[in-house]
Amino acid sequence: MTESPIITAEGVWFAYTDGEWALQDVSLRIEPGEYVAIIGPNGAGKTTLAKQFNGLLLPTRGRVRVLGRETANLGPEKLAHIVGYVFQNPDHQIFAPSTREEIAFGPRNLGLSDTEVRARADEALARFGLSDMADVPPAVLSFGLRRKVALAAVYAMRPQVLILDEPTGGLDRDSVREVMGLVAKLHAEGHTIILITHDMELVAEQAERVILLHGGRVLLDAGTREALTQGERLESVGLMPPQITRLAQGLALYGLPADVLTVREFVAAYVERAVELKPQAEVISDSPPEHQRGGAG
Amino acid sequence: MLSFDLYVPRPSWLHRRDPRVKFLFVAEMTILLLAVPSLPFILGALVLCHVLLLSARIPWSRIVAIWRLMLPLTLLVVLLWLPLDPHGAPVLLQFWRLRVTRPALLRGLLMAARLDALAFVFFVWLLTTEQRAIVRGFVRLGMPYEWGLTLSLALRYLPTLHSIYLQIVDAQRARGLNLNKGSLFTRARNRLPILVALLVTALRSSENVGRALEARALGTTGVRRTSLHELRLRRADFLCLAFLLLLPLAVLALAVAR
Repeated sequence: MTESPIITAEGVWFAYTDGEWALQDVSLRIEPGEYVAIIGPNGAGKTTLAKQFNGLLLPTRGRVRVLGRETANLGPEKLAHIVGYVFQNPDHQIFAPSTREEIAFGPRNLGLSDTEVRARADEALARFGLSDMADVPPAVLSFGLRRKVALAAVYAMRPQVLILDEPTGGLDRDSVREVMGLVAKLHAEGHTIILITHDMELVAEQAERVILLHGGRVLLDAGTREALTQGERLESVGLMPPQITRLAQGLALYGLPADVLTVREFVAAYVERAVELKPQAEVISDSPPEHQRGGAG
Repeated sequence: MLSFDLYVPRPSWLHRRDPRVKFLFVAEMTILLLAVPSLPFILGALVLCHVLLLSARIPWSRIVAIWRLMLPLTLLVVLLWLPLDPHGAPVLLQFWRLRVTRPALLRGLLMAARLDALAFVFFVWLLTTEQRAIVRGFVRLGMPYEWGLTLSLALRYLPTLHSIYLQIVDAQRARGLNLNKGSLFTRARNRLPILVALLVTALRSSENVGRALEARALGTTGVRRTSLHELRLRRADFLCLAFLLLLPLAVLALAVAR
């Protein structure tokens, strides 16, 4: 990790044409390699904030810098190779006659050579398990696959930062696992991930840091564990900690820690305490309960 | 957010008129404006439209906006007319092969004023009539209900399509697509990723809307449709109809008297 941040926002205010402030005095810095979740109720300004990071929107007041350069002097075209943005709806970007063409579109816009474009497309196809569909028009693929195509198409530009705007909406649990597994791998390889989502379980499992927005203001900017265990704070803006966190907090009187984030942590904490009471609690650790429902919304 | 509905809701006499009467006004004025090449008549029509708009409490700012919209077109018509119509005398201006004559200038002005008047006739209609009412009027005038529904759905989806278009532009720019670079041909070709994505999204959602309509029993045979809003002509509508009947007769009489 280097010392200089990859993205900084300094006192950013932003208004759409209706004149209402969609962002109010947002200041933050995102370091290379971080995995940040932006959460908040609908209309909180999550997408508006994320679009500042790749120059699609420019601050009305204040400054956003990417690798030290102010976005106001660049455009999204010039930032595309640094900050990749995967939109909420994959259909808003899919146009090409084949999946390979779709994925090659971004690298080609970067002005790369034909061999490099082809190599990147092939690598992205393989990584996202799309090689079999390389010659199929992406528009006819299933919704889950179209999401993967959209992600692969942005990945192929090899941006240091990947912004994912609700990447799990409309996906079943298995697809969520698959797509987010690929995202986790990208993060492990050093990509900076900025995730916009309503799925608290997902945030708990993957993100390292949470930025909570409400009414265009940063209400909370903290480590995931600190952020997601603040039940009252989250509920005041209509959000909730993950179910398993709430269960653990509900059992606090019985000695369970209040900062449990995942089922695995819950089981570990439970077993640790249950062993003192009941030796047969081992049964639970052998088959972790998979009743965690997520991915909805 | 861009609005595609020009309608300005106001509690006015013109807003309350039956959409069929207003449609007849538009049809009749269009025919008269195209058929009567008289500058006084065309200017009279323009004055009438302004009186109608103001009596319907349409704000001045809207009227100014229409003029601002029409001004470039008006100037273009006059400027294109002059070199293409070198006939008549006296010659006002002679420059190389360009000849501007007084009758040609008048004809150019007439064409431009005619265009403005036609535009204002349509704006009187669209600024004072809800889209739904327009379609309702068409259906009562004999348009098949399904066509009317298609028309109002198409109008209703215009703002939606516009916002999808903006999102697609964002999505493709985020992938490095530069829309303002290169020759005119390159720029046009660079719009393709946007247009194709928009078309695919539009087709997908139109299929969904179609299914949703079928699921609500649209097109069931052997059923007579009833309406929530029955159109009924009132006394003021009949007065307007009388005016619309007399107007062409008056224009004809004046033409004959000349």
